Amino acid sequence: MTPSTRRRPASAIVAAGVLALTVAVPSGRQAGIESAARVLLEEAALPGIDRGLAPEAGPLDPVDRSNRAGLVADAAGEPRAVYARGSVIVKFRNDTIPPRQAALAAVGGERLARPSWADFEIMALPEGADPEAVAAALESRPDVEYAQPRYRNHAMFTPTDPLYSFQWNFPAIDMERAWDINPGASSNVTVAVLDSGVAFRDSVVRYRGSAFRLEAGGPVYPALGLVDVPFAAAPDLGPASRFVAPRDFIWNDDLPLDLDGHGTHVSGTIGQATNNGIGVAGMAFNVRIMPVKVIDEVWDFIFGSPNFGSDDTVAQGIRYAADNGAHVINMSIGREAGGAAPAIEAAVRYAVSKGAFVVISAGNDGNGQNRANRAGDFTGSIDGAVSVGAVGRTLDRAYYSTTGSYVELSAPGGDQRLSGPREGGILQQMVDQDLAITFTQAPALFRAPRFDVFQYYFLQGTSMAAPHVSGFAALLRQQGITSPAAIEAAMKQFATDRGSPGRDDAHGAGLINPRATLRGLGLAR
Amino acid sequence: MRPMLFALALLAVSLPATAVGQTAPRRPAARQAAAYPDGLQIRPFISAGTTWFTASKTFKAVLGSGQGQDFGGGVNLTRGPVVIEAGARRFSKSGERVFVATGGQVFPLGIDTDVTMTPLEVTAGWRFRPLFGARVRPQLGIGYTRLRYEESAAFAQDGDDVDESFNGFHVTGAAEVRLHRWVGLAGEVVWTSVANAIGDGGASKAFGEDNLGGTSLRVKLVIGR
Repeated sequence: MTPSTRRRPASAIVAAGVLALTVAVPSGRQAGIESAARVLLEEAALPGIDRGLAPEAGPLDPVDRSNRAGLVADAAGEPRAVYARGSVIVKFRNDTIPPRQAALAAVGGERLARPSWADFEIMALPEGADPEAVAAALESRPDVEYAQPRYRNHAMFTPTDPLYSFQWNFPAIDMERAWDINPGASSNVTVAVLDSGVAFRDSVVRYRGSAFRLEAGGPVYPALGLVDVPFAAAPDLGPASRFVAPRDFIWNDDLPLDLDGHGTHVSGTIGQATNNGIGVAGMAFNVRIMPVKVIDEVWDFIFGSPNFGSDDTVAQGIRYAADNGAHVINMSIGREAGGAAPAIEAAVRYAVSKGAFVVISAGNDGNGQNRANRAGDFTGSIDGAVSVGAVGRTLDRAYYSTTGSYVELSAPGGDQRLSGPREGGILQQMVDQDLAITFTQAPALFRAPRFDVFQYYFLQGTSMAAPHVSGFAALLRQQGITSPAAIEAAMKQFATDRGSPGRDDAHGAGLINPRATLRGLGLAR
Repeated sequence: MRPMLFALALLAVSLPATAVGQTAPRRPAARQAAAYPDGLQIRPFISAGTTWFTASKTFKAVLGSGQGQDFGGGVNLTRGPVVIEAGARRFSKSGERVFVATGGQVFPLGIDTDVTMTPLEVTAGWRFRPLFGARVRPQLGIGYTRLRYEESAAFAQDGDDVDESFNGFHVTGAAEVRLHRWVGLAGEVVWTSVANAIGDGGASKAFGEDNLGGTSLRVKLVIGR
């Protein structure tokens, strides 16, 4: 489902079914004409501009992760202890007995033992001895070449992306240790993003903008006429080569451009380029991404897209993704209104039968009428498809996350009400909303959009939770679990129970636990 | 299995001598003397064998096979027909961690894991009178097993690896062939039970298997009379 953002009216962030309720001037959509309403003018354009963190989400005392290890206690046995108590490493210059015994006695050591593979010795110390002090005392001796505490080493994969420190969502599900096991999957795995499109390429596209109203009785926005709109690939999403089989079912072409930002944000959580020194990280940062546009947003409406995000369009996108090699299909979309969605359910069953694992967001109506996402409330009966609820930074259900018997897993989706607009959201890159979402301004200030400037935004929603699970599924597939049903079973088996003991309607089987799942089962443990 | 085949071949070789022995004049007193050497005999031995694990699905999933080879040694004390034996064996094999789906389908995950089992066994047994002209000595026994189980894997953190010991028991049946006055070769079948050692986690839980024992065929080279 869609995120909540500061500027965007409700009508701008819901799927096409709601858009159809707005009082709109005639467009190609209703009239069924001008299906080729846009023209690709340029295959290329200037590269995207990365404006960094959105101003309202600027850095606020970011935690220096490099110092974390120094903050933890150093007691023996603690997983993150700086060094082990009870012993030190020492290497003697003169490898004879007398100096070794003298050193042992001088610092109160208990015994010396040399590992078979080492040229140094491990000196056992009495309980309570300070290893750093003992090591310093030993180093001051002329017969000692070096001495040091037995410092503990730890997983080194902490992404270098400068804004990673804002991404609480990854440490919250132990991703750093998971990445040690599986660093971002590989290009052998394809994740389809069925959404509002993805900022996956540079181009300039000519549209015709008609006059419109956003709300019944609201002001009429003037027609833009023919406008040449620049698009650029999101700078932090990776090279063009990682995008495969793009398809736009809203415009009936191969240009699933994101005229909103939602799909790009979702794609970022799935596979944002990671460890590249730019921006933020993503779950499965080596996968290929298949952008499949199946929902329309406000600009699609204004520009007169021939189709909208109806159930049949979504079903078509699901089947397309499955037929074109998607291993995982992410659907951070849906609807609360209306009845069941048999066309979508049949398409999901088809995709699973073709070997694709399908992830659907549970819905954002938990703070309202708690209506289920009808585009995904059937997944409980399909082994290989899951509905995902959202948790906030406290790992409890986010206030908006819809609950119900169909919720199967939970993942970080953010809770900005509880933890604040920055600390509580999920950070990813998307098109600059100031320059793209111009219809939120007064009609007199309304202007053509541009989609070639990007910023990092904190969003919340089960839309943000689902891509965590999709990226996780990609990692599992790369690790060797190739069956969609087995991927679902593995996720549930290793999920961390939250809320009521056992399965519950808020968290399903629990919060995803990528590290434990990727590591799997030994013989006894 | 090769050592076992070798042992069986030796048993077969011994049969013609037995036939000849049956034609020899019966000398009861001399036979009695040959059955059990005088006094306490202290006999070291080394062993090699194959074990078919009770938790075969679990072992096959993680280690690729439900059986494995082990090597060991110990000492065998005999006085008349009574045997007391103490020995240790070691089984070690590498595999990979897995996910076991519903229905038992196994998905290897490519994460190296090493399993080592070291059973310490104390056996009390009874040696029967020699057969076939004093060249083959049958033996039965029962004993206590103390099994050390170690499991380690890549990407382990504190508490992930296993190093525990469990109690169990075993029963044995063996036949020893005298190759020389001071050298014997024994073929032995051992059934071991180490119940409730596994099954609380890992693949063993998925398969509902909790016993680290199994059935072993071993060959022992025994030094002594």
